[in-house]
Amino acid sequence: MSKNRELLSKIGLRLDGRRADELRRIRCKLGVFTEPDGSAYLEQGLTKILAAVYGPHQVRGNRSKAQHDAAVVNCQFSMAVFSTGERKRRPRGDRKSTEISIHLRQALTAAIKTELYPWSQIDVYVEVLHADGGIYPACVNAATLALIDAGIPLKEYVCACTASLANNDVPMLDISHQEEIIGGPTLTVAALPMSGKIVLMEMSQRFHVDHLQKVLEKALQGCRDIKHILDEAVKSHIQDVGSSTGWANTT
Amino acid sequence: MSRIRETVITNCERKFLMKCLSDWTRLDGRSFDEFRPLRVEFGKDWGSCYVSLGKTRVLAQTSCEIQQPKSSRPSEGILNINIELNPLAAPHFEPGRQSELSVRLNRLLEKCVKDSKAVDLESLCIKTNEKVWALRVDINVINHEGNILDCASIAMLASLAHFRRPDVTCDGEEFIIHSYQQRDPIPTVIHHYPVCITYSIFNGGEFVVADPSLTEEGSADATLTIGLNGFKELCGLHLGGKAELMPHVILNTVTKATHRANIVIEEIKTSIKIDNEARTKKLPLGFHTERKGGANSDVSEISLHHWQEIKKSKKKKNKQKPVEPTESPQIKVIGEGLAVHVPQEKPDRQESWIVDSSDDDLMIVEKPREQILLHDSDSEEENVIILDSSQRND
Amino acid sequence: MPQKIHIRLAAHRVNASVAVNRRVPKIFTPGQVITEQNEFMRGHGTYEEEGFLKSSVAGVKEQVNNLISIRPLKSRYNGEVGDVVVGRITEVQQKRWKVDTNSRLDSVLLLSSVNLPGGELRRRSAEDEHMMRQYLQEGDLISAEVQSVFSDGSLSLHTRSLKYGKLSQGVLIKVFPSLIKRSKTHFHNLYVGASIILGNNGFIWIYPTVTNSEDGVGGFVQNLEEVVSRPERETIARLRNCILALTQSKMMLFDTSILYAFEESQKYSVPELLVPEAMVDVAILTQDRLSMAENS
Repeated sequence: MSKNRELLSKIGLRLDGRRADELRRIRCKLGVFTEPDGSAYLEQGLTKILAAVYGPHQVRGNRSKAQHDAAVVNCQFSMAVFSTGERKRRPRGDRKSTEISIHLRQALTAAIKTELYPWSQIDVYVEVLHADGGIYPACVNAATLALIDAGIPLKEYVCACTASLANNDVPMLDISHQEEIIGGPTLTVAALPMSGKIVLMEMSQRFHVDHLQKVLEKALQGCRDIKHILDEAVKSHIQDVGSSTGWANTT
Repeated sequence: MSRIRETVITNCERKFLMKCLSDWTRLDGRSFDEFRPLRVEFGKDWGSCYVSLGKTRVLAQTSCEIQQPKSSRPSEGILNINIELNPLAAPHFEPGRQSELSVRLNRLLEKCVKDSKAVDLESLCIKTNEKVWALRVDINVINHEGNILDCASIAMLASLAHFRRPDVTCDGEEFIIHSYQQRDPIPTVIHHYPVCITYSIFNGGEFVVADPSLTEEGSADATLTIGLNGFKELCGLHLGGKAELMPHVILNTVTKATHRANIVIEEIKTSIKIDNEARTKKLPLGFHTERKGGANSDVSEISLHHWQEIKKSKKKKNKQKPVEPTESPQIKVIGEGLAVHVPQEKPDRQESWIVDSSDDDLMIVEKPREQILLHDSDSEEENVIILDSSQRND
Repeated sequence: MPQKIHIRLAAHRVNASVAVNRRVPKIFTPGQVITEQNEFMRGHGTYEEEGFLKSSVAGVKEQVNNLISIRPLKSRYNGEVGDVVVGRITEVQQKRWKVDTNSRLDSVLLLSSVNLPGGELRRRSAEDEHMMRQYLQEGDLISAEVQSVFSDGSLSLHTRSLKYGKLSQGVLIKVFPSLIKRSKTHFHNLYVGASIILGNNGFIWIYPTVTNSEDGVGGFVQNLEEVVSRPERETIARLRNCILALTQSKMMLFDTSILYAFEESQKYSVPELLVPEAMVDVAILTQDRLSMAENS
């Protein structure tokens, strides 16, 4: 049934009316919880993510994990059972969730200046409230905001974005669930957009090697765009909080 | 149960490795883009495949059963991939537990084969909505010397390509599964052959090393795994580790990997072809029959990696060789990196050894022969007994 | 007894912001270049890369001579010598207690830096080590002062003053440490009939005012028998709700702001103070009074 539908129409519009290099709308909010040290809520299109950060704090539980020269970053990814079309049987623990947890930790460890916190641990909890494609990138973006809210030093923002290839030729940005189903290849990239360094890359399905460069470039462009959006959000949040406190304790 | 920790790579090792890399050498003498020798062998059963990549060894077995299809895909068969890391391969692997490594490997293999639609799942359908074949590939890692993934992906693919499922016919109501004797089994349809090719990346992309060994894997900044098929199509890609890379490093590496993919795929295809020929000729099958040394020659083979170097330090090497000093052996150079060791006087011994092989039947070995394999110049020699298989042909 | 329950839609969330227009200093975000010159020293929240001094947190710049640092608006408690903290005992070890002070690492309270009953100059014997759990056990709350900061950032505390020690009856509130305003004293006997300890680490302790200060505080006596009268409890509850209201609107906490909020909250009953609108109202009124006091 989906075979005759194209990812990109002749006039260059996608199924949801976006252009090929257009991101979905990103809305985000910092400091949504009071209990964790940092928290954030992020919507990317219809994908909705909550992220909470605890720490840095003393390593709890298995003390042998503690490192003398760096903080331990611990990530837990979980999807609400109601987040997908079909009710999930369990929110975490399956292979896919474990994989995302591992990848999340990889991307965040690259950005956090862990060497500043020996013997400590930083916990990042991410919960998907609504899954509509591009879960992993949205999680990375939300976790970045939560880390910034917690005042944890980062080298720079770490942003993630997906890209695909439509009609075997045109690279497309920020893939939605609908487009994932129709079956374009998906390239996920997590990068430090300011220096252009890639910290995680992953792809599924297939396309020709020759297209890799342009799809990768498109994804990196997406990361840079996302960084600008997040930066705006952080600045307005800081300004808001700072005005309430009266920029106290500052000179 | 107390757990054995993973062997840590010491700072000395790491420093030495980095120093070697900056001199453009690797610890085992390979060049940066050189892979370890690959060998694909098949067992007696369909879909039983043993792959060795250097000293990393993996055994894969495909099996099948009839199941009800998933409701979302009523006309498609099911493919399950499961990689098992048991303590046989490395002491820190725990049996029966999903470690992070096993989840990662499993997902990568799944992405490589399932997401790229390499196996024609629709051909596995027997009756829509009711019965489909469920293929299951079990991959057992036997020895872990780095780069499990490449080895496992080759084993998985070879096993799938080699596997044949029994034929099924339907007479109105009932399904009959025919045994292999009744009807010829059916091979699985494979559209393309995606293999994983892994590179270790050091120093933020300065050194990119193909097919990393255990030490290299442990001290690398990142590993880049590229899934590729014979048509130069990417079928999965993964960058793991803690390196921050510039995009051009990845693009360069992917280009390099395409050559390797073709070689590997050819190797898999030839191995299957050789095996099929052997089956039609009713030659003995199974892992215990040596493909190379199976002929009745009285020479023991030594394949030396750097023959020239060994020759210089012959004295030193001779001490290690389990060759009796009374013999004055000759060494014939066959080709590059390969030599044959011919003992001049053969001790006239007649002994019979009973060897329990992987199958139930016992075989009697008439003459002891020794084969010395020197994969790496620094490795210890192994004595491999060549089993005489002439008994079975009789 | 039927009770009124408020269930709100997310869309009807109250905007708790009480921001006032002030001159906004420049805000730095992670990765942003602060300066290209390398004559500056890098302080907290900054790092050097390729000759640039870059920010690693989101916050505002603070400069002392050549030292540049970026202070995030919110972070874990960074202890400084002399800070007053409220903490909770998490572990009793040989010769020391481990204390959770909302810091990056657990703080330590050495047996040698507490005042044991029976005179200050008493020698610590092996018996005292055995008795440690009698003095303070897991879960107990204490007030203490930061004695020193170890090289790994963990804090060493002491309670060698009569004002510090085990806390007995009262209410604990946890807020973000950055909301506590540093001042000369963090112990306040409010005229409204309760006392408050504003721990620098964001832990606030409200307790009924003790009339004769010789006994009670400063030791390990925990008087749980004494009944606190209802008016006193209501005052404590009101204070707590006022602090929550100020926290929700991210306002600084110090004696004046808390007292103002307490006075402004009189028009609401104590339970009403938990309604978001009332909380914002109190916060706005307090903010107004504070800025009036500032301007006059």
